[in-house]
Amino acid sequence: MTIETAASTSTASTGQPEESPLRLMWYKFRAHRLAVWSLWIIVGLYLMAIFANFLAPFDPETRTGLPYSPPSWPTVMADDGFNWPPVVYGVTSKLDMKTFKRVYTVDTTRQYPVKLFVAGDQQSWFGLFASDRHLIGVESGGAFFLMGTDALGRDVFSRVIYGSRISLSIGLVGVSISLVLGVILGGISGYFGGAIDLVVQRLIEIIQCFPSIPLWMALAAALPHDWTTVQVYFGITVILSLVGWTDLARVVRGRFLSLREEDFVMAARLAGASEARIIGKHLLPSFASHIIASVTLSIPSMILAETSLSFLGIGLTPPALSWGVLLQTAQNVNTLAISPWLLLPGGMVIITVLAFNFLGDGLRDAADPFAKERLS
Amino acid sequence: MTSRPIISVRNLEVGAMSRHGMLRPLRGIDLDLPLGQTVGLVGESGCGKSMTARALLNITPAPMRIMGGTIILDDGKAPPQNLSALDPDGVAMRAIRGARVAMIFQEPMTALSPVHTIGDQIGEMVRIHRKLGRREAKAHAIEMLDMVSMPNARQRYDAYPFNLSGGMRQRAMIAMALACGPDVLVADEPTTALDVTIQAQILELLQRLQANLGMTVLLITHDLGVVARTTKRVAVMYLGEIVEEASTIQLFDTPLHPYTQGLLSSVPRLGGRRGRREPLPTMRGTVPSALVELSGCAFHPRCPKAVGGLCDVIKPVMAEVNPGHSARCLLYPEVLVASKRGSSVVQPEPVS
Amino acid sequence: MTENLLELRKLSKHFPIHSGLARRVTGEVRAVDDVDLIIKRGETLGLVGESGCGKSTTGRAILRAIEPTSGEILFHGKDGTVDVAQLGRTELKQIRRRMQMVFQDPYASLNPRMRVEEIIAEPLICLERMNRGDRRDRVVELLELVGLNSQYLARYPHTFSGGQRQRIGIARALALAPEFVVCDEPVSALDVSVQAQVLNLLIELQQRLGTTYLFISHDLGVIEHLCDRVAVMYLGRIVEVADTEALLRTPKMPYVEALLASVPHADPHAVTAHAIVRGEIADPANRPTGCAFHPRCAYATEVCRSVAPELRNVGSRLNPHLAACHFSETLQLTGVA
Repeated sequence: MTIETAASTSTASTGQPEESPLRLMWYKFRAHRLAVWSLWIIVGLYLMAIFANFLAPFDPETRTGLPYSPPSWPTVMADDGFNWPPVVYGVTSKLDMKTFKRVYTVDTTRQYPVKLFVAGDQQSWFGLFASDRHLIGVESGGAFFLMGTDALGRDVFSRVIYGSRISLSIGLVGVSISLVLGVILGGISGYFGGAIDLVVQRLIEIIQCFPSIPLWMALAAALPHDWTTVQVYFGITVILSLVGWTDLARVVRGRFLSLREEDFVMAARLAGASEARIIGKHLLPSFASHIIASVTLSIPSMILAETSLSFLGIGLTPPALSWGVLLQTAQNVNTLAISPWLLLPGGMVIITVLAFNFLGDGLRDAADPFAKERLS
Repeated sequence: MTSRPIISVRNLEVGAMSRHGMLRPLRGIDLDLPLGQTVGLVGESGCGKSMTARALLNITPAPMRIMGGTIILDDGKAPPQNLSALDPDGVAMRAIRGARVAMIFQEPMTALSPVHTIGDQIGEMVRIHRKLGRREAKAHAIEMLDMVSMPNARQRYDAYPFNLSGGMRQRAMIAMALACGPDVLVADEPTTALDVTIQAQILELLQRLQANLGMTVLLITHDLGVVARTTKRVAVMYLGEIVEEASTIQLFDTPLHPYTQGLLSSVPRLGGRRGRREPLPTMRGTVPSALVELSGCAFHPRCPKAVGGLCDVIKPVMAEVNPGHSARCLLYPEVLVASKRGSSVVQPEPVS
Repeated sequence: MTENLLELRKLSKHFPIHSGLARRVTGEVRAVDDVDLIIKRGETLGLVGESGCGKSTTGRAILRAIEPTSGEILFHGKDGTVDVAQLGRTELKQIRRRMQMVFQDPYASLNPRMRVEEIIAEPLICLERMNRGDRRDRVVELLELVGLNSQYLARYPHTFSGGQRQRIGIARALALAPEFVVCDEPVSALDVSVQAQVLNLLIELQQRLGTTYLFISHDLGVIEHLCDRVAVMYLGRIVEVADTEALLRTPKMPYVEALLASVPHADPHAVTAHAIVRGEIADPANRPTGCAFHPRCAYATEVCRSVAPELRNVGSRLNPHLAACHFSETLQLTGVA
């Protein structure tokens, strides 16, 4: 009997790299360039949320006295030619008595250079210690408003950065709860089948039949009015995940159903494996990657849900700060016509949702590394 | 006595560039399909036989494409033309596909649309190629179903593929392929997915059709029994090349190439003269992947008769060793001479 | 120890057919229908048939990988006789040490996310108390038994060829030295040149370990080469059981004759037999009355349409040859030359 030598099973003979399935998934993911870009964007967004206190030029509640200021960007071309560092000009505001519109005139005599680690509003590092340093900004008085200011003169850019904390984290918290619910219910449904499966599936269908916005409104209205912002926040996440687990449960059930019949599961049974071992060692690793992909694709809907609720005023309300809250002011047509920059938080939502979708696509494609590889 | 070849393949190469390197599933195929005969193409998985079938109809799966060589179709209906030079999606090629050269597949569900009745699909063939009207197309389709011995042809006209069993689907696919009266039929493992008794029916049907219609058939299979029963000539493929080509009787009686010899001796054959449970002769190793480029003979790492210094250095070409029987093995002087003519390196004479 | 290792008595597996909104049971598919079979200790019994005949289901039912609907599975093992069909959870787990399976699809039967060592060690982990070092030694021993290098322990299945994966599956099946192994089409998915290697391995292992095989296949050439006796199934029932020689040379049931005639011989000089059977394999949900084969049988008569034939011995007492046909004694059927 011939002993197979390593040579006859090298890459050349089977055409398969000698790596673990995890590595194969990584290679496949890497090939999806849009997904990789999205990964970096999302990492950047979450870093921005974590270090908001340092990255935002202003405190989100500081009223600069310049309401409805359009976005003012630093320039390198000043009167006296090329200027480094870039400067912003001072701005004076006057109320035009005829149109009752605020008019901003740029005062080129007052120049404020853009500085790093500039001293600005007081901010606190995670409640541990205070500082007044910000990454980038100008001396007080300068109009460094990258996204303009709102009705109360607060810098929209800073508010967007702080708002990302709630908007991005609600996605994660909500999805974690959905994940637990979805995996448990979907797993039970798929693994045991029969009557349990029937009941769970009908439950999923009933939940999914409800129009989402009225359902959310009803649940949100049920939250006590005297709850603090934090309590409302968690209340909202629970509401969202109670409705959002259904998609995940379906995916999990589908995978369980297909995996249950696989030969290697039957082989494990014949080897005497207990149910727990089959689920833990054989089934879960096989669909973990699919779950991660589904979860990633669920996050954007959570973010959008919170944004919608807050936009409608039935989610978070000021003084809580999220992108949806910021968009509340965009409900006013007048405001939009005069100050369109107030819609920019919506742009952040779009970027975030797109990034998660592309990332999820990439993960979903990479989830099954053994599918036929397309030659590129 | 040789018939004029209706299809002549010379030096056909199919390949594509991939992330891992150049993939070449076909590396210079020479094949003749004599008019009115059944030729078999045998090999294991990865040898390129399916790719050959698809190349003949110019439907190589992307990104694979024909990189060189000629496929001359000379069926008398038009001046001889080179199919490999035609644009795969062009009008000329589409006019040939189905009407003059047709193909049937291993899995009928890949050829049959699940949302159309089989009568519709057969009729579509003649509506497109022969511009027949609906009623004539239907009549023709029923006639075709009768020809392939489909029971209750008239009712089956309205059946959907999922209403039919495997054998009947295969018949439907054959009817569809033959609807326009092509002269060449390429059959890619047509019975591999069928049960033994149904397989016998389909093979008998193909033989009957060939006799009645005078078709030329290229039958691709890995099953040596099917080859022995249905083909007149057979070619053996290994790693993208034809390594032996002969009449079926010659191949089974006196196989020349060590690969063919190994294949024939390692398959347990029903009614064979071997003792029960004696170890079957086996071949070392496995088929290398299509990425591999070996120097010398492609089979030499596994060949029990390989001669060091010869088989791993000179690339053998096909040469006729016995009348009508060619092989690609340097152990035969005719092949050695022809191969050395092709290579410019001087080699020591092998010890005979 | 008894001569018989396994006795199947009236083994049945029926699958209910659901239809309608309330999914009522409207019928059943009799995948395995009242199967009586004897498997002798140390032999290789071939189980042959076409799709829908129930051979795979029978193999799985014996191991209770699928739950049988009714019948007895008497296993005369080293520790005594048990009816596998009646065993509770814990006893069933123990019987798994004695009975194992080799699967058809080398790509689906190994968990792609487990390393080879874990895959082969699974029966040892679940059913045996061993420390890690002993377990590894045993796995290395098994790898060498099936002709694989011990340096493959840490690799994943996708790095191996089909033939090698099948060897891994065989190593796993033999981990606890079972007395009985069901080989469910173990070489059908492999390349021709690799089939021979795996078949040789199976034969050698049987000679070394004395295992009893139930070899399920549709390839009569392989069956002839490997098996001592052969059983043929059609539509859930056993229709003929005999010594391999006897079944192939002198079949006693028309379906077997048709089967033998349909297999193309790898010999261009052979004359094609005429017994090309007509018609399609019947739908298991819609069994014909009487003998299930009668609609396709060239010799069918009135009694075949109404009375289902019993499987009875038409050979001698010393060399039993069981056939389920009303006319076994009178028909002159042709076998393989």
